Order: sequence, then C-alpha cells, then structure tokens
Amino acid sequence: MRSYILSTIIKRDLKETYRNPQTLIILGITIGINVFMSLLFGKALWVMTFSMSLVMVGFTITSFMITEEKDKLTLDALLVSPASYQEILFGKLFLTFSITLSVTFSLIFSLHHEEVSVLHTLLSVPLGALVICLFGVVVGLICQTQAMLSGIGTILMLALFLPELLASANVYLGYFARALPTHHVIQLASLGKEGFSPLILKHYGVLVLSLTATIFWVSSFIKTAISQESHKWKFDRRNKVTSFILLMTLVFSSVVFLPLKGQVLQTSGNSYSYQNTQYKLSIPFLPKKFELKEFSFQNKYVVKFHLIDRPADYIYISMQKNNKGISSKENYEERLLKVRKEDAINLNLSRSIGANEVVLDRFEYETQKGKYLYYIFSTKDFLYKIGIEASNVEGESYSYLREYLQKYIQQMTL
Amino acid sequence: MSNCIEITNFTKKYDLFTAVDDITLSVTKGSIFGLLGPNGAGKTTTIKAMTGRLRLTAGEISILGLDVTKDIKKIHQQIGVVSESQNLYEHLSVFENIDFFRQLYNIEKNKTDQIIKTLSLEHKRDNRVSGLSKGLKQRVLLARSILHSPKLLFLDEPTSGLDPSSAKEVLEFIHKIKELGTSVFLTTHNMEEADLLCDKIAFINKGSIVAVGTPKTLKDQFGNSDVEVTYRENGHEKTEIHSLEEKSIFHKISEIHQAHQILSIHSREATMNDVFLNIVEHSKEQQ
Ligand SMILES: Nc1ncnc2c1ncn2[C@@H]1O[C@H](COP(=O)(O)OP(=O)(O)OP(=O)(O)O)[C@@H](O)[C@H]1O
Ligand SMILES: [Mg+2]
Repeated sequence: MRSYILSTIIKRDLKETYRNPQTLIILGITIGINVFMSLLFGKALWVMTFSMSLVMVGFTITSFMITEEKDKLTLDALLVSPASYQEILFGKLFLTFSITLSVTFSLIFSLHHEEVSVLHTLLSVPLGALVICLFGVVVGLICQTQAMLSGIGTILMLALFLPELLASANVYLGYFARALPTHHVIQLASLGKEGFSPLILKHYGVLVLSLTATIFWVSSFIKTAISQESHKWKFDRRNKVTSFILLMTLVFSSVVFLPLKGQVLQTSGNSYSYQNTQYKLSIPFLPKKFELKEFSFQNKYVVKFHLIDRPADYIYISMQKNNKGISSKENYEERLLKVRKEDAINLNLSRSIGANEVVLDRFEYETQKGKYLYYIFSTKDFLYKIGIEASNVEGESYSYLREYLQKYIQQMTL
Repeated sequence: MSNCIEITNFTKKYDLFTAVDDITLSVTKGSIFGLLGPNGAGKTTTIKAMTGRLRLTAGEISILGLDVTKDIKKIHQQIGVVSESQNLYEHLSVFENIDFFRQLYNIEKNKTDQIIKTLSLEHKRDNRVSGLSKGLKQRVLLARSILHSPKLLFLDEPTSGLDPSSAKEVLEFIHKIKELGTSVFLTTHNMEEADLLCDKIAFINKGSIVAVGTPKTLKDQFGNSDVEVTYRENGHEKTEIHSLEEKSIFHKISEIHQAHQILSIHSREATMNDVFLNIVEHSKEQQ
C-alpha cells in the first residue's frame, strides 16, 4: 500500500463525508439523539450511546461510502487509475474507523464520563469499532446500489444495534446481544473498577477473537470483490467458509458468557430456595406456586418469580456489581428521586435491619399502572433490589406476594 | 512494435451468454480506431476487457506491448479511460475531481490547472460537478483521462447525448490529442463522426467483427452510391433512384430525358450510415 494513494483517498472521502447529505444525516442523528436525550432526561442511556455511535457511524457510514462508489460508477474510474482495490477500501476503512472513534469517545466522555471506566473505554472501543467497521466493509461490497444497501443495510444495522438495548425485555435477544462486539465493549466500559480481572480479560479475549475472525472474513470478501466483474454478488466457497467460521466465533462469544444461572435447591423436606452463588444470594422459593425467569442485561442480573396462575404479577430480584462503591444511603436517595418522578401515590417508606445487619430500605407505592413494593440495599460488593410488581390494583395477588415477600425477607441470606 | 492494441481470439462469456465471440483486432500506434455496432453488440465489453475490468474467457489482449491479464497496473499508468457513464464525484468541484486523480497519478501539482485550461474549464473550476451540463461534464471526464499524458485513450461513446456544438468540441479535442501522438480507441453510434474522425473502423455485431477497414474502403465495399433523378410526368413530380453500379444507368437517364422534363439530377455518395445499415441488415438476413 502506497501512503500517497491512501492519503489521497482518505482526503477525498473526508470531503464526501461532510458534503454528502446522507452521511451528514447519519452523523447528525447519532450525535443529536444522544445530546437531546441528555438534555431531556438529564442523561442519555449510556448503553445507547455506545451502540448508536459504534453501529450507526461505524457500520452505516462504512457501508455507505463503499456502495456509493459503485452506485455512482466512480469505482470504475478508480480501478483504472493507479489505485488498487485494497488501497481504496483501506483508505475508506481508515477514515470511517477514525470518525467512529472520534464520535464514540466524544459522546461517551462528554455525556457519560461518570459511568464508564476511562481505561477500558479507551482500550475496548477501538477493538469493537474496528470489528463493526469491517462488518460495514463486507455489506458495502455486497450491495451494488444505494437502493439495495438501504434495504439490507438497515436491517443489519438494526440487528447490530437493537439486541443490546432490548436484551432486558427478552431472554433470546440477550443471547444475540452477547454475540456482538458492542456488548463486550459496553461490559468492559462498565466493569471498569475491576482492573484486569479474569472476567475483564475474558471480554477482551472474545473481542480479539471476533476481530480475528472478522479480518479473515473481510479478506475473503475483498478477494472475491477483486475477482468479480459483474454487478451481482456471487458468494464463492471462500466467502461461505469464512462466514461460517465468523458465525461460530460469534456463537462462541455468546455461549461463553451465558449468565451464571441461579439454582433452585431443596433445602429440607418440601422447602426449597433459589440460590445464586455469583451474587451470593439465597431466597426461599415455592416451585409449585412460581415460575422462574432469569435475565441478564447491561450490567444487571434479574430473576423474576412469576405467579403461575397470574404471570403478570411477580417478585423480582435485581442484582448488580457495586463497582462504584455506592452506599446504602446513595442507593436510597437515587431510588427516591426516581419514585417521585413516577407520580407515585400512597408512598410509604420505612427502614429495617435485615440479616447480617444490612440496612433495608422499603418502598411501597402505587401508580396508575399498578402496585409496587421493593427493598433496596447495598453491600460492599453488590447492589440489590428485591420487590413486587402487580398490575391489578384490586387483585389478591398483590397481598399474597406482599405477605410472601415480607415473611421471607428476614430469612433471606446473603 | 507499431501496434498499441493487439486482440487475439478474444471471447467473453457472461455465464452462458457470449457477449464477444472470438474477435481479433489490432490498432496502429498514433491512430484513431473506431469500434462501431448496434446496441448490445459487445463494444463496451471489449473496452472493459482491454482496460482490465473483465476476465477474458478466452484469447489474449496486449495493450502497449503488455498483457492485460498480467501487467494491468502497469497498463493503467499509461492509458486513459472515459466510460459510457459520466462517473464524476458530484459533491466535488471540477478542480477537486481532476486534482484527486492527479494525486493518485502522483504528478506535479500545476498539471491540474494546466489541463483545466486545455479544456477551457477555467470559468467552472470551483463549481460543483453536480451543477454542470452534460457537455461540460464530458469535458471534465476528458480532462481527467488525459491528465497523466496517456499513450492510449479509450473513449466509450464520448459524444452520446451531447448537442452538436458540444459534440464538435469533443471531436476537435480528440483530433488534437491525436496530433500530440496519443492513440485513441473509441466507440460511437454517430456514423458521420466516425467517418470524419477515424483512421480505421471495425464493425461489431452480436459479438463478432463483421467488417474492418478505413472509412473509404468500407464505404466502397458496403455503401451504395446512387443517382437520384427527379422529373415531371403528367404534371406530377416523380423521383427515381439508380445505383451507380447499374451498367445501363446513363441509358436510363437519357430515356427519362427524352420522355419527360428532368427537374434535377443528384449524385448521392455512400455514407457510413449506409454501411452500418447494410452490415446489420446483411447479418440479420444470414440469421
Ligand atoms: N455483466 C454482464 N452480465 C451479463 N451480460 C452482460 C453484462 N454486461 C453486458 N452484458 C451483455 O453483453 C452484451 C454486450 O454488451 P455491451 O455493453 O458490450 O454492448 P455495447 O456494444 O456497448 O452496447 P451499447 O451500444 O448499448 O453500449 C449485451 O447483450 C449485454 O446485455
Ligand atoms: Mg456500450
């Protein structure tokens, strides 16, 4: 690769980026939505900032820039100039990768500097951004026209971007999200306080592995693109093999991060308890009465005990690492602020001392949607929230769940 | 070597469809060569193969003594290409479009403005290409293609869609290029233009070369030179056309002259249009 050719291509592509309305819109939406959310809610979801800046900028602009040259047939002119196909693609990748890093770092460090680890953000974002820009290269190569890209590309963009945001709503989306590099970047940025623990290294391992598989994958598509002459993309054996390897790598990165599930154990006779060793929690459980569902999303692990005959009503436990050393008092105040925003009525607050002298703050209130009761407390290592959500304000399940929770909260061990 | 292009038994198939079928051609250095033929005949395919944009199904192509399958990047340093589509960067100015390629060719900086002057584009130098007319865009494309003083220039339909005066400018430019010693390979649908411009012409139809020669020999071989006689018969005007090849032509004219009043006699020279039509019709008949 010749540096004067690369720099010429990069300069031209940069001009295209800030003159083409389509790339400007993509950048504008990414920056705009995040800044807007920050102004509106005080803080945009930082998970969203990561996903949007990596996927919208990295993936969408990279694929756009490549397809644009084919759609406008300017690639034909470039390919009879001294520039090689590899140099053309490398120049584009370099530019979009740099733009992705700039946008991600500026948004994260200006809007979310309190929530993320600086070191791990600086280290993991380039890895994740490179993988996602390379995904963009392949899609850009496959799509011959902007019309085709706006179909295929939009679907893929959503597939890369939404699972991470929706993982909390659906277990399967959680599996999907963990396969993608964005998830590991977000985990690393949020697990920051752990230094270089085995868990952190595992996330880096998965990112490097995905990057390696992606590089092989992209090289096979570049080789095919160079040898292909007609406008329709034909997948050759090389493409299929490397795609399969990449897919397996992504499946692997999801599987190695299967959340540690809790277990329901028979403690004695016909009494059972739900135990989660990772979060050091044990709570009585009635298998005939409840159905258990576990989720992990972002940096939280959530267990729900749904009433079998009334699945909309449930007890839940949300557990989270206490990386930032949040105290019971801070935890309490933050919750209180949130409850006040929800227009709660009949708010009832009290404090008690649970097992091991842990301070338990109890919140009970109603909104238009239903009745809520929860206890929150923090230990040195974890933040816990245990509560009830019952949709039918008049129903009996709330009082049943309430009694159940009250009775057992004292027996709960940490 | 006196030939800048040597095509030997070149065949190009797209899957099962044969776009170009076993053609052999050579182009003399310093000449203007025209490849003519109906739509879909295989002209663009041939140019793409010569410029390294297609894999050859069979045969060999040598450009400036270099094999297209082996030394394509060396060839690219020495050729200029203007393709059918006006593929310029619409968001860049005229200057930026040309200067981008100047940097890729790694040649001195003042060359861009020099070429802009050569093609009389100074008044549009800093205008975005998206706002230019077709004729001006074509001039920018020509400027871009000769920036690095190529030895051989490929022009795929350089005047298509241009008004007569823009087309004339392009033709004059091609002439000038030739004077400077550059060989030109072009395709066109304008037969008159080919007749005026080309030193040698090949006709391609359905992927096969059906005739090659200088414009004159082609017209002699395939054209028809006629005499058109208009006379008055019972108060009505009538016209008869007689080929010059008819032996009894003068006898026929004198017969008309004796019986009627002749209004005019015109000779019609063979044109490249006739050649084109004859060749295409001829090959249809053969089918
Ligand atoms: N990539 C391709 N795949 C399949 N067939 C193709 C491809 N490119 C061209 N063809 C076919 O090959 C034939 C020759 O096309 P080509 O573009 O060379 O014609 P042409 O002589 O340049 O025509 P025109 O005067 O319309 O520009 C056409 O029938 C065309 O449909
Ligand atoms: Mg053509």
